Amino acid sequence: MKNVLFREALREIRRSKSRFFSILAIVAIGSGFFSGVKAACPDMKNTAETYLGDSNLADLHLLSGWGFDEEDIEAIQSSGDIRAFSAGYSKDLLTTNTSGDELVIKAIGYDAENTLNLPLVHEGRLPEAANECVIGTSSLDEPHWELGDTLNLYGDNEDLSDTLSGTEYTVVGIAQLPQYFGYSYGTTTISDGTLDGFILIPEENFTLDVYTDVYLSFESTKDLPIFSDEYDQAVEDATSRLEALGKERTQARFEETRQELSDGIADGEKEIADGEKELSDAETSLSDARKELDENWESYYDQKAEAEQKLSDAEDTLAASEKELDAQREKWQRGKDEYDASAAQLSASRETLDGYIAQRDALSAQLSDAETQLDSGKTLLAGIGNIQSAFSSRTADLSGLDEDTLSLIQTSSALDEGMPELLTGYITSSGSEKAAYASALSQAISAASASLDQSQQQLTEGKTQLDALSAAIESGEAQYKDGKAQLDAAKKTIDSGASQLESAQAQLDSARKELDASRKDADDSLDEAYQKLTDGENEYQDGLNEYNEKLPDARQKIADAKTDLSDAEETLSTLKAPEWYLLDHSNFPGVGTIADDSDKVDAIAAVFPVFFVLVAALVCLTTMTRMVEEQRTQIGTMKALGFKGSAIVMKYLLYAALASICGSVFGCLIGLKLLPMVIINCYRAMYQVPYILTPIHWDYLAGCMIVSVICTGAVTLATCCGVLKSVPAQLMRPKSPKNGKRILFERITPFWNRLSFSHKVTFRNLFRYKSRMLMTVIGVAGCTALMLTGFGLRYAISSIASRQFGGVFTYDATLSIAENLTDEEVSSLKENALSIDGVENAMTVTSKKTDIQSLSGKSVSSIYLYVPSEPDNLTDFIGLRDAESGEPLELDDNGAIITKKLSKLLSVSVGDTVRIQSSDGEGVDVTVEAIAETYINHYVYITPTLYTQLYGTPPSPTALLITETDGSDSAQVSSALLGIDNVQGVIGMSYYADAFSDLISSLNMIVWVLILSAAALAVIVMYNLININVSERMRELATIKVLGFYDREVSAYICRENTASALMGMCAGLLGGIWLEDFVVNTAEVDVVLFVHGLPLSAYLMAAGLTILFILIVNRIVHHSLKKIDMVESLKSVE
Amino acid sequence: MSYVELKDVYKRYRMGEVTITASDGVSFAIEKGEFAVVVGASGAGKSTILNILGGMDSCDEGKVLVDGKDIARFNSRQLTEYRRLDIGFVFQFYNLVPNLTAKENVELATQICPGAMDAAEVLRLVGLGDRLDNFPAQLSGGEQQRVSIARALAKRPKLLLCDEPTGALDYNTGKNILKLLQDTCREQQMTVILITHNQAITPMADRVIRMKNAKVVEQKINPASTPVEEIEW
Repeated sequence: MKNVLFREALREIRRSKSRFFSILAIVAIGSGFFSGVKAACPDMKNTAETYLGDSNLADLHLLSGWGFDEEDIEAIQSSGDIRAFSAGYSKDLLTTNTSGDELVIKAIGYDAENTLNLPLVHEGRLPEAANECVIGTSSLDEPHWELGDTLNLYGDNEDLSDTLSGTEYTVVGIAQLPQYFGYSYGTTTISDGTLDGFILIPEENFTLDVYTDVYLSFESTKDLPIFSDEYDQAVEDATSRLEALGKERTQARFEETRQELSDGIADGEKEIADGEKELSDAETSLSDARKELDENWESYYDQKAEAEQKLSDAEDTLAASEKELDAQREKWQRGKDEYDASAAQLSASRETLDGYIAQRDALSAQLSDAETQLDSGKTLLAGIGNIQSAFSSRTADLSGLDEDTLSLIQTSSALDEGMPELLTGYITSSGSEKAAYASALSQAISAASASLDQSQQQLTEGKTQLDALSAAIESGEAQYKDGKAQLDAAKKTIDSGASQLESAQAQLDSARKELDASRKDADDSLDEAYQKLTDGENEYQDGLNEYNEKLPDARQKIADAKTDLSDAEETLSTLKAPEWYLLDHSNFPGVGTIADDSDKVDAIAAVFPVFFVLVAALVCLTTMTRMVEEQRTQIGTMKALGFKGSAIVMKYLLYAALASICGSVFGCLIGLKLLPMVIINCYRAMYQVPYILTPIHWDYLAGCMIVSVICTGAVTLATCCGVLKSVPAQLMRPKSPKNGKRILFERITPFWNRLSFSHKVTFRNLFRYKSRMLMTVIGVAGCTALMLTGFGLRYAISSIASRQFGGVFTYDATLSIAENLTDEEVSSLKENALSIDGVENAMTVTSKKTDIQSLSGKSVSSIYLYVPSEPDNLTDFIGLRDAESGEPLELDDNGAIITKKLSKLLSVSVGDTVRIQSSDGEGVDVTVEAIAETYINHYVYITPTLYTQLYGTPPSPTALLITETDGSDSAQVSSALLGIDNVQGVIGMSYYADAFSDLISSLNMIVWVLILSAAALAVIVMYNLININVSERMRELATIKVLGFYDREVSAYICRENTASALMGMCAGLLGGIWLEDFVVNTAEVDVVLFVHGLPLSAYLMAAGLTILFILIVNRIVHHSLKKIDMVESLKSVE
Repeated sequence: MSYVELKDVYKRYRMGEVTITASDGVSFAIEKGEFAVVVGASGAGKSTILNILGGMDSCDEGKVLVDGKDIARFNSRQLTEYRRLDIGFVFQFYNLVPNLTAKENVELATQICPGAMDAAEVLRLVGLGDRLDNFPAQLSGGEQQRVSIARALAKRPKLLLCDEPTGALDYNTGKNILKLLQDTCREQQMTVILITHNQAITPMADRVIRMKNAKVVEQKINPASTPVEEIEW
């Protein structure tokens, strides 16, 4: 029998697929949404825990002002409880990305051996070569570089040679580090103070002396989930141990450094003195050289003058001698001329004489010739006469003549030319001829004898003449001889004069020569001296130049050294022990906040899904009710056949249970996978979630299944029981349609009469199906209320930033300043800050983190005790306004102003006393003077006077608040502020505001998810109900169609009812939403944040608008399904 | 030309592979003011003719002329207008809206039809003057059918279509309803087309159209129709 029923149930399912699936779908949506949203928080934590655990996130990050030296490292390592340890390097640097923007990044040394904070590579690989780097993942924006790009690191006006061995790196990978789980990378002291990212470079590239970062994991935290309280406690314990160690080590380092520094100062002083001495030595030696050189020059010029004087004297002497010589020479010349004249005279007389001599010689020669001739003539004539006589009778041939005769004949020509011939003829001729010849010969002999006589006479005359001449010559010769002797004597004198002159000349020449030589000598020696001097001068000039050249450098060096020295002295005088900063997870960007954020999701999620389940149950109720009622005939038949009530109920229970089980399993599986994925994905805007873990939470699934089965089962049971109470006969008759009734409204006649007919019909129908109307009202009211809550929540959270950072904290930046500064240092710091362009105002404040208690024993930890140095000017920086009235508050010495959320948590009001913990554990009591509006964190504001009263010491400033002039460049101001002494960091308010808007945008997404899901559910509810309505009133609708209603009118006929009830639901939702929003906002509010309560008009408008939109969508869908109704339905018989 | 005229009307339904011919070349004509009865056994094609005439369905072939207009060519909007203004429909199961009083049920029709009669007036006409504010559940079957007739008449339709108006009523009540219809036809010169499987009713009609197997097998005019009172079945 059970079998039959079961089969019947299955068959029923097959028969009414759409109904079964509608229940299944509603259950699936309800339970899927519930479990999915519920699982989002654990999944988020689980994902974060898994990732952070897998990448061995360190428990603690140690930083020190001075880095860590080997001894520090050793001390830490041996401090016990250390599970894992890594010491490394990091350095904040500047670089430029591919689009040319300057970025501040942290270069972190990557060591493959390291076991902590393992990078997770997204792309590429980890660095291997020295010039390779891996860049950090950046937010959803484009990455700054791509693989293969080269980036160049440079310091902020700082030489990197002591820090890094290379500044150019090729990007080989993109990775994320677990300690930067959020997208913020913290603050820095360079540039604008905010880090834009990090890169990993091989650790060997760092050339720093000390380690900059130490990461630790403790033995005591092993296997503890990092979001657990036990873990926090373990880390806290270990931290306090390390803090003690840190104090010890920093003190030691401080002493050491102070010693080194003072040694260094002494050395420096000595060095400066040496340098100065060297400089003055150089100066002295230069001036000595100058002096010597000047002296030398002087003596040179003296010498030169002397030499010149001497030479010119010699020259003068020489010139005089020459002049004398010239005079003598002239004299001599005159003598010579005289002599020459005499000589000429003498030679002229000589010539005359010689003429005479020649005359005489010629005469004598003539005479001797003439004598000879005469003698030869006479001989000849005698020979001729011999011949004449010899040959007077003989004739002889010539050949027969002797030689003498022949030569005589020959020579006879000298007497007469015809003689030879005559003689020859005479000799040779005979007879007459001889006679003729003898006559002619005798004539010729007579003529020749006559001429001879004449010549004889002439000769004698000539001889007389010659004698006269010879006598004359004789006297002339004597005269000449005298002249000659005289002349020779003169000649001798002249010659001696000439030689005298010559020797004088020679003397003079040699004197000149000597002079020239000595001049040359003098010149040479002067030149030499001059050369030497010039060389000396050049040398000096070189020396001087060098000196001059080197002087500024040397001076600079000395000045620098002095500055360094004074710096060092100042450093020494202001030297303070460094501090160790022990940063736990709450200081790792993102790691500390994700747990809180996921709790926030949980809080928001808490309310919404419950409603979904409720609506799902309501839908099941109507559907099952309708089903049971539709099948009353069948139930009646079965009852008539004798089936027990329980057996009949079982069928419907089976039906409902099957739908619920399938629906919840199906819905949970999808919901548990999908919703955490969607929600965590939203958080990816804030956190670098590398992967998302969405395990199936079987407990949730089982819970949903049980709850939905119970819900639908109970609904089914209730409906069935109602039906089963009737007797079978009643059941087998068709249930008479619900009778029409007059409604309450009709009794208000003036109102009713004013309604148009169709509105009357609508009202009548609305009240005819009260339960259905109620369902629509509840469904739509819930949807509207949820949307209102969603918008309200969004407003509550999103307004925080603008109110907190726009209305309350009106300052633009805070400078954290070094501890324990003197008053002068603080005021000079403030002066410096005020002198920066763009800084409008500045005020020092003391901010201390402490705990607070109310007298009733409630306590709140981590509140900020805020002591403004000038309470009267606080309004320029922090707008203290009364939380309720918004009136501005004045801080006075009577008591403290506390923030609203704090007053809520402590349950104190104005006039109550609160106890603030002081550092020594004692508490000080202070009266609450006023309660101020603040949305983030808790603050207790007191005046410096009151502080001094309470604690006995005046407050020492910890921060400087800055307001900037409008339109100033915040980044520029920040980087200028960072340059001031004793400033440890600058945080612009925009940094907080941005961080907060990130959070808000992700919450927005979640709120939108919730709103849209609520909307979807509302649409489903409305559609489902309207569909039931339509199917139940099919006949009626077909009839009015036959009556000629237009499609539009038919839709209106049905939809008007739906719209009316939906609008009623909307109004109810808008009212109920106010309460719901308040509830959710209060639930979701975390301790340190005060949400903005109250709903803006826009939230109402949005919620109402969206609801109306959904109603219109449903109406549209219904309109189409109504069009399809067949009018022939109206003709069918009633079942 | 007749007031209502069907010419070679074909209507076929495709049921998978089989084509069922619901109207196989039906032709007949009815004059204005006539009381016509379409009679035939179940499945003879009466309802198809009614649906087509009532503007609830269209035919595949042929002409359906009502007062000179071929409603076979009307689009759905024109058909709705036709139903709204020209047709009064009396259902076998009255089809009253249970949530509306008798008067309101009539008003349902009158409020969409210009020139309609006053609802109370019509109800008084059908003899329900004292039951105006009763809900259908408070009325007997005959009274409900009267309300239904009143709803049909209130629009002053050109054609009153009645689908087995007595089918769900007992003998006497049925007779009364038929009388009401006949009287209405006579007094208001209303053209009434009544569809029934009951042969006994035919004598009261001016015109009888007999249908069988989706065809008109006989069309005869009753020159002297019998008053309802005299008919017995």
